[in-house]
Amino acid sequence: MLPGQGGIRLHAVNALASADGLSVGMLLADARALCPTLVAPPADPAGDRADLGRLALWAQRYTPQAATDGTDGLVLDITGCAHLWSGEAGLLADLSQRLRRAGVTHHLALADSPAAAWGWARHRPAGAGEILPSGRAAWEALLALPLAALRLDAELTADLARVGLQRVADLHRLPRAPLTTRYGTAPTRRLDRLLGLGAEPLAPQTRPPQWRARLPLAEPIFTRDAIDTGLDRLLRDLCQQLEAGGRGARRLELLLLRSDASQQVLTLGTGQPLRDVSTLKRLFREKLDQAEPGFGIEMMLLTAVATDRFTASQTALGSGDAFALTFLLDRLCNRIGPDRIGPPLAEDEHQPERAMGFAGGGMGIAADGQDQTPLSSLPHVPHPASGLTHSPSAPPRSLSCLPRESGGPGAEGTETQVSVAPGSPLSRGRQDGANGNHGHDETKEGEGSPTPWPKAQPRAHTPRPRIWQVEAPRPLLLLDPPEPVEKPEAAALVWRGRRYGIDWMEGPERIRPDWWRARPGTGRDYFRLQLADGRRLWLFRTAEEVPRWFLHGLFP
Amino acid sequence: MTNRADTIAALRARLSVMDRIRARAGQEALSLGLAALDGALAGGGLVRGGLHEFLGDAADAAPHGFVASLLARLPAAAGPVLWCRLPPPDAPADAPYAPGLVCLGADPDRLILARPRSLEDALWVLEEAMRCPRLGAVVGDGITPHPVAGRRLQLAAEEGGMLGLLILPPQGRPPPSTALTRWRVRALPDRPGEGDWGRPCWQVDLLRARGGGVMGAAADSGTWKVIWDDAAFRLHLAEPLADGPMAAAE
Repeated sequence: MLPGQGGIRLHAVNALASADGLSVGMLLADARALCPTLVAPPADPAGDRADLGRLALWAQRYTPQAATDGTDGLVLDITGCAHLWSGEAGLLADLSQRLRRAGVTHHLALADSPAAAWGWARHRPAGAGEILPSGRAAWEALLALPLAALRLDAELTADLARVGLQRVADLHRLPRAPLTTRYGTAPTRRLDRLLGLGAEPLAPQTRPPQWRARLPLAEPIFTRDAIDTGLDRLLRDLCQQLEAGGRGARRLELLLLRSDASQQVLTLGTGQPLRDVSTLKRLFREKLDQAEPGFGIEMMLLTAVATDRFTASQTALGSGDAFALTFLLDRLCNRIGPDRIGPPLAEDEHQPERAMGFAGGGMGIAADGQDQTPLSSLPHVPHPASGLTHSPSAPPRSLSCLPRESGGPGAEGTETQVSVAPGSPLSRGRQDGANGNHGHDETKEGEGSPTPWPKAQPRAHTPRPRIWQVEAPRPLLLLDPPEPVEKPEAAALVWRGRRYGIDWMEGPERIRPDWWRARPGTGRDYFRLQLADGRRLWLFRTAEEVPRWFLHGLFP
Repeated sequence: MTNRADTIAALRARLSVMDRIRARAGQEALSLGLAALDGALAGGGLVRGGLHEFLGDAADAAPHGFVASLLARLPAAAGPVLWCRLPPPDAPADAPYAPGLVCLGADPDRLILARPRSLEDALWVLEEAMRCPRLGAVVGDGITPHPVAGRRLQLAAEEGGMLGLLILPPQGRPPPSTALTRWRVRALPDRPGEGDWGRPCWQVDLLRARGGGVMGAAADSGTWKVIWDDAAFRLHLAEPLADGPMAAAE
């Protein structure tokens, strides 16, 4: 739904909703009156546009000439490509099957010109096939289309309808000169394009730049030295590309393709954008220990999956120890994982085990997700190797693909559920949390979407001003989970099967959990006690009918 | 004659610096916060560029507390402190607990916690961290390096000029080590009634110090009973020394 004239109006409606009588442009209030169980999340035109762009990039597996067409369609020029799918019908069937598997409702049409395909996809009569035969045999079919198939402005179409022109044939019959004088050149130009008499160039969807270096090897390699040399060459190439583009790499993926067609991926993340060969080689050193050549590595592919703009202050790399701490944390994060290293966080909680949080990622800065280029979710799709034969004898064929995307009852966000199908690498970068849909299946070895690598703070580690509220003495070691003990009697405590004498016991200190988190009446009474041998413990007693005792911490 | 005496004294001084018995010219040894403890060490404190080990008893947080009180004395300009903890498999615990550090005067904000999964990873982390010039200190908690790894750590600490503090897990017989100093810290009963219940009270034994005498004579050990003073955030002796102080080192 989008705010429109007179209130919020429906932006897109799906089949279930239109069966109930809802239509595009209807006021939301009227729609709710007709269908009380309507689900109407807000529309996101920018997101829809971006998603359509990604669909066009995916459709480039059929032809390099694939582009978005308006706000809800794709146009593909499949001249010379159809033989790879054993004919046009085969190509259409394959496309339709993949889109259906992806959950995209669509209408397809195949015709001689893009305009004809557009018109045929949207306005073809019920029962007609998707493919318009080539040449003038389709003339009658096209002429029978309604005037809306010409893709003129709504006002112009209304004007022409008022004069009595309903079909393309009516327009075609009229003399050109007065038509142009009265309505401008638009109707005649569109008519020519529809009938295939005028040219209509197609600008294919451009792919965002990929930072990639590839090294095919003449013979499979096994030794670590050879892998090192190969990586060195790849890094030089990639860093040159990054320098030319003015960017630095934040996340790198090294793909090792083995002779038996299996592969291994090694990923590396850094806190700051880097493009220095020696630094990256050093960071890769530990990762290469995990490399398994198997039957021999035939190709190495290094991709900078996430890049950042490279600022001038980082040119002094490797010199001095200005970045020594950041590099150390990078190395540690890469070895033991970014979620296992970081500073403690002061949380505003009463419960002792929650009062100290842990911020992963080295410096403990929250993961900065905006640096991820959408490229990361579109892995490279290898085109069929035969290439395109552009034979002049083959008539140009354009495929218009109109994905009609409308989700559940009401106007849902466009969600593409992608099953892990070979060769169908489409996936969503953004999550539509409004409906709880997680259309987020990544392909490629089944791992989830790459977690954004946390971004380091610039340079020095300045302690963050956080206040640790400590009202009472707290232990230095906290047991997780708390260890159950027997109820301490007057002078002895039984713990881990042994009996200890108690010197003194101090308490209770009642700590209640947050009122919104726990049932009323729960709480803990904390006691400090000292054993005869000098150890000081922190016990608590739960506030239940039959209280249980636990050991929670050790005092120094 | 005086020339020779001077030369010998100068050579001794140089040797003691090279052996990490005394601190280098520009650096200062980390004071332990108590004149008696400092006086027992030839360097006047914990010398940077080497490992210092702390042993404790089972289920006792005393060595951790002692190390935390040392961290409180690090100058702020030294940089953050990396605390690398490898919990024992039978007793997973969250350490160090930051509010507990606050009670001992240490600042949790300058701490970076590392939680590796295996001993190998932990030793790797310690070695890499020892070489970083921007860290103030490196604490290894629950990590027992085998002799070869211990030697590597010591070399790494010397290279990086790092203060390495290892809290060894409680074990029957601690392995022989090449550390600069080795301490044992045990909890002692604290008599209440002096206003504050349950102040940290420890028995600190110096088991080994490199260069107890000047030329590497057998190190004597000393025993002290120290109490942490919450108000003043420092240690002080509980009572006059139970055993005599160790033989004056030069």
